[in-house]
Amino acid sequence: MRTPPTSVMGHVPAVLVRDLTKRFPAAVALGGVSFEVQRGEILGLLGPNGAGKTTTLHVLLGLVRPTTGHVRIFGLDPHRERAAALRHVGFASPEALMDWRLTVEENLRVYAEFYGAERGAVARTLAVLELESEARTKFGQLSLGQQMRAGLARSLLHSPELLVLDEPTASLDPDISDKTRHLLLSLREERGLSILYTSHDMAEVEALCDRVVFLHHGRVVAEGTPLAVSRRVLSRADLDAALLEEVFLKISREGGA
Amino acid sequence: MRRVRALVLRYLLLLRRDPARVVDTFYWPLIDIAVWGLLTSFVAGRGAKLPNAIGVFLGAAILWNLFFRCAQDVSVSFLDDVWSRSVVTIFASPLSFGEFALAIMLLGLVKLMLTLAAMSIAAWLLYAFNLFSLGIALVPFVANLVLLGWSVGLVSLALILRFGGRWAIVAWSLPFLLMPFSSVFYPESVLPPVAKVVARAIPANHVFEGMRSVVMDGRMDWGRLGWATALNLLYLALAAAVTAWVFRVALRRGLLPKVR
Repeated sequence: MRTPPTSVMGHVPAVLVRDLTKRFPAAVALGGVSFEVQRGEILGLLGPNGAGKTTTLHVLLGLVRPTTGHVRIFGLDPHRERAAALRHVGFASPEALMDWRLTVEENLRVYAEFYGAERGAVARTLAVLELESEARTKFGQLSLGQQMRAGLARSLLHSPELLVLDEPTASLDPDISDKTRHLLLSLREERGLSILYTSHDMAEVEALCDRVVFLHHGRVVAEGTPLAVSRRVLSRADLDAALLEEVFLKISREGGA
Repeated sequence: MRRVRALVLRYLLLLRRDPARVVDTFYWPLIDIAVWGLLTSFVAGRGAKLPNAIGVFLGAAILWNLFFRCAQDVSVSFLDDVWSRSVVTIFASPLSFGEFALAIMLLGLVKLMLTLAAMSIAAWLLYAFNLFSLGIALVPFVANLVLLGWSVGLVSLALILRFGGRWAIVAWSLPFLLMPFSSVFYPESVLPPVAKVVARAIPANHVFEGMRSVVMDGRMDWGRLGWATALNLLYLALAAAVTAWVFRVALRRGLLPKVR
């Protein structure tokens, strides 16, 4: 387990999700989810399709109102204190695109203003994500992988304290995926960044995450370090390395842990 | 205000990048001027007894375009985000829905100025019609059409948000639903009795009647202007309330991430 830098540990968690339920007219998406992301921690929110991961992220980002329960970002309610809470958050997802007719740089300039990013933020993040050569390319002309990197650049514009990433490496080639993972780890080390992260790539989760939360049918079925969850769910106390792929399959096929 | 300014900036950048926006802002309005000017010249040449016919028709064409473009800009700006799948990106930022609505309404105003300038110059160059001969009366007429455009645009936006992108057609069709009752190119008196009742509840009807009063009789009809303003303020308050309510429904039902 990778321990978050103690210098950034605080009393208020980066993310607090407490007894969260969400009922849509046709389905119950979340049935009482609770977890926390500590400052400087990378937490993987995992589970099969339809488990409630994206709904949880959407509630956190103020895009969907919870039925009951509450969420907090650094102690702030993103539904009541929207601007104050979301100013701390960077969000990237293959589903969260930018305008396809504007260039990468133009799009980033607009979002830099949304977040009140400092001068030079656009050039800095383009450099960090190695996107300088695509800066003047229209967003719609980028490959899926480049679009995702541009989304990551957008999420980092304002030097957020929390990154919410929905499958951030899904469309990236192995080289860029690896660079992205190293970038996320170095951001955490340098800035004490907290990351809430979903992925179906269990090897990546094992490499990145301090802790994981497994959801199934809108409920938390396992929570802890990758190794502890692997030992518990697979009933193998002798394990000395996480086996999240097997955990994922067991939870997907058999339900709760 | 910084976030509102950023959103307006984005749409203005789009004006440069997207030929469809240029067509909407300049091409169609100029085609309207050309067609209505030629029609009016033809009718006037046949000895039709309509004082200042060119002023009546071209003034109406210009003012109708201002209303229509203003309404369309509000809803199409939202559709731009739906089609580019950036709704989630925008609303996961600190931008509030109120700021978003304010930005697209202001954008409508900016684009309206561009359309107004293009149409006025074309009408003057092609037909020697000076829209600004309406004098100070032009200001309340345009202001009322902007208010109505915002109301109709917000209602269209609310329908698209609630029922999805398949309702995109309302962005273009809803303003035209008002056209038969707005007495744009003919007086209210020619409407059938039932249509007259409807027309009196439409602010645009009072604006166009008022405009004809100025162009044909040189008289400002303050009563019409008062009605138009009162109705517009009521409708804008209702449209804003409905849109805010639909946004709350969208948050409850999780519609924002799904709108396509």
